[in-house]
Amino acid sequence: MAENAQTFRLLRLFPFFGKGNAAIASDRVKKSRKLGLVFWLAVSWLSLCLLATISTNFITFPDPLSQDYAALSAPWTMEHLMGTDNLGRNMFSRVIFGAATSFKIAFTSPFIGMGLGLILGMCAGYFRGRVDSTVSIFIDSILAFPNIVLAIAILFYAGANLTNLVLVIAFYTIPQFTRISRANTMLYAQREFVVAARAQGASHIRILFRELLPNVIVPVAAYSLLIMSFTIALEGTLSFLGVGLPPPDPTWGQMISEGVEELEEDAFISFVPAAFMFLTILSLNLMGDRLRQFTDVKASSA
Amino acid sequence: MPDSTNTTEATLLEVRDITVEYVTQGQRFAAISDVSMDIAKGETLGLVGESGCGKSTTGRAIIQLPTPTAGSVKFEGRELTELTHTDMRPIRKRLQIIFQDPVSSLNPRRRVKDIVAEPLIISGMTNKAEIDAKVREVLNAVGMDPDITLDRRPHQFSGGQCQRICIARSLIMEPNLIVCDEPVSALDVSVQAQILNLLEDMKERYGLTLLFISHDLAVVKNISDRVAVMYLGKFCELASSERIYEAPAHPYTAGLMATIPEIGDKSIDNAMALTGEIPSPLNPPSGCRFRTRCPHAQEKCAAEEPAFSEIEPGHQVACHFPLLGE
Amino acid sequence: MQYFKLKLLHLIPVFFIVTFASFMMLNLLPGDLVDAILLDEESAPPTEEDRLALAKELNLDKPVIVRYALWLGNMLTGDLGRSYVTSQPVTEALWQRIPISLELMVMSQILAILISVPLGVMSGYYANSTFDRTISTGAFGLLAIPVFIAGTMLIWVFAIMLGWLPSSGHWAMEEDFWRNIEGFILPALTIGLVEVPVLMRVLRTDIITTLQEDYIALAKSKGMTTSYIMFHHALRPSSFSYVTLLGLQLGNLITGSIVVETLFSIPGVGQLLINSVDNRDEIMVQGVITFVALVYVGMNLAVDLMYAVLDPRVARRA
Repeated sequence: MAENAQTFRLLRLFPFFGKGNAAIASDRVKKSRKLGLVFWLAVSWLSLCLLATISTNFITFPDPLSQDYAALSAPWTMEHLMGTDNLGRNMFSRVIFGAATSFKIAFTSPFIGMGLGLILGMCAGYFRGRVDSTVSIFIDSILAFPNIVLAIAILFYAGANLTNLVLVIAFYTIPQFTRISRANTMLYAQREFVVAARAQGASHIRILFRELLPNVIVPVAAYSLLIMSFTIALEGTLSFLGVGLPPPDPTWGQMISEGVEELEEDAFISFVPAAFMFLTILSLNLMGDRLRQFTDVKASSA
Repeated sequence: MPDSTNTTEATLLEVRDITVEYVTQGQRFAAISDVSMDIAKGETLGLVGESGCGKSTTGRAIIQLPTPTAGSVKFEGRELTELTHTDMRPIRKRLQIIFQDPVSSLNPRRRVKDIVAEPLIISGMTNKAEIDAKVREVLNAVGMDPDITLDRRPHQFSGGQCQRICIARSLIMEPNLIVCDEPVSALDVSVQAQILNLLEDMKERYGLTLLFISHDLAVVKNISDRVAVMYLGKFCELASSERIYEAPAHPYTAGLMATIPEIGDKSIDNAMALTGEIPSPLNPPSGCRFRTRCPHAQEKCAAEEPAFSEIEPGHQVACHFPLLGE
Repeated sequence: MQYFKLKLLHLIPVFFIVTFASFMMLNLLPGDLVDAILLDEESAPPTEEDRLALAKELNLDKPVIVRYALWLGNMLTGDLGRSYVTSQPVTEALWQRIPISLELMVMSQILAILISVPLGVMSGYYANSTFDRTISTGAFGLLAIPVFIAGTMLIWVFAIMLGWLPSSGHWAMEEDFWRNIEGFILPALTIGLVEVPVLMRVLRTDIITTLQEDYIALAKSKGMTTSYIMFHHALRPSSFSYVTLLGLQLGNLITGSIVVETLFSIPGVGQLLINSVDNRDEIMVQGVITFVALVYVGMNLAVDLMYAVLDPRVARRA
């Protein structure tokens, strides 16, 4: 398989995480052992959002669906922390409940994709030959549909519910995870410790799990943060187009889409969820980028 | 031809005409062809040659990684080439390998204690205390303090220390034969001597037999009982350590000797020094493989491949015109 | 040649997988297929005649594989069925909208090039300067903005705050050329802008490499001006990855145009898809998806082949 063609084909799916981003990453490497202030800011933002989302189970937030007719498109007050939308719904509650949807997907889809991608990629990279070609045909078939179109189709025909959404998005993270797992497996499979394990009589399964997996999982896990940000963007896009989770449960994409109608009167209806989404994706990208540099450095010096 | 080798002592390893073929760019080529040797119990056989000549391939073919394309490898009288990986497992306990790059041959994500214990676990040992005792014993034997070493990871050690850990790992199963694949080439000269001494000590203590692969003639000379010289995937000379250094019969061996500083200016003609490039193993020369670089090459060398035959007891050469005389 | 043959051969299984998947999607519908298509909240319940007619049109009495073969045959002759909501043949609807989507995509690529080339060249030339770092940080931020947020922000700034450009609508080119272009600026900018960070960074990296070549030093020593060197000597050898990457943005272009056509009410193929989803127009959705997937597969093949022509090493490695 032409490595380059493969890489570039994946770039179409994950334009941000291919060569372009690698270039960004390599330029930014300062060989620093510290994670840096920006990294911790990103962690704080995500923890804050996550905490708020979890706290909805314990603390009563204003109902994100109830309408306050006395305060339509109201400014920011103590009662309505971030104001209300044009229907008088509490923006703060809505944005926090919207975060729940995003996080549910960001924390499930990539892990399903990672599991399958690891299996496929490690087998392809370790056994090579026919296994490799079979995996490559499977990946090519996934990539034959532009991601959003397949997602729209599945959600339309099979129904737009959380399970289908999670599965469709997970499906689209498989190729990227497969590619990273495969590349890293190939890198480590050449090391003599694999031959050494073989010389001691270890089975292929044992080598894959005990020798290769602990090494391969590190860069793959660092990558999963970048994939999380991709899943949040994809979920947002689907919601925005009205083909994601149906109302009334708020999602960020849906809120932004509703706000577009009111952009002239009250831009905040779009801005608040847009800012949340931007900061969340940015934080995940920052963390992922930084962690990947870290794991890269370790892999090369070890 | 094979029977003529010195088999007075008990033969531990018997290698007959092994060939390893690879497919590169749709083309088959033999990394080694028709390599034969015997290793007697307790001896050290040195295997020398320039890089890319197939030394390491030979070493790995003996441990069946990969199994040679043709030929036979008998270890303790048992044919290995016919065994499956599972059937091979009990034999691997007694047939170990040490690699050139000690850092690369230790998994960076595992602790030393797990690395060294791995062969025991693979062989099915489950008693934790017993495993721990064994690990401590071999680490002590190779001169590493178990209390400091056990819970660390390989990147916290120097190259020499890593090689000690590798040796400990291969010793833990109490093997009979260890294939040492350039075990000191990646180390500093000062550390090389330490590791060589350690190997000698271990050989004595555990009654080991060694196949010692190296490109460094000086290193091989000191440690080996007999030495085999390889060129482009074939043996060209095999003799006792003294004979091969005193009276090399193959022009290639003589050329190699000329590269060792101490002996270079003594008995061997400087004209023997090796010149020219090693031909591609994808397309080796006809007849004698060394003829393109050989100062004595004649027409016969291009037409006919020389047999690997004995010129004196225990001294085999593959040359039409071996260098004779003191 | 071997490579081209291989690629074309590879296309055959992919073609069947894609068309079969598109065909089978209709069967994902819950419940009875005929009911699912005909039942509509607004319109009257379907008569038995309607049901029989549809069942006949969909060949429901035949086994799946025969239905697929018939459907495939129709598709290849340009018949993707007709909508049960608007009664318009799918192919006709597609033909009306393709030129509009095409214009949008071309314009967005032009804008992406116009923005990313100067930025890439300049940050490559002034590598690690304050300018370069600012641009890098900006690019990293831009990476975190999905197309639909970028579009919303652009509408707010340019249509609402500044009032320079229309926020929605489409004018036919024959009617009013300038209004047509004007209506496309913001949508195209939205798609283009999202591509800029990746394109720009790739160009920057390659420019930095090129500038270390001896012939650049020679050109400088001859006293050529910086801008002349950059655009005549450095840009071309640095643009290979850039051009390749540009050709590989197709997936993004499709995503981008679906979002942007919906956001800016542009009657392109993407809007057709989303509208058909809203109207629960099953046959139309199937037709559009099949069409988009096939175009995507075809274009990807074209890009792979182009890439092999531009860089013969690719073909040899395969």
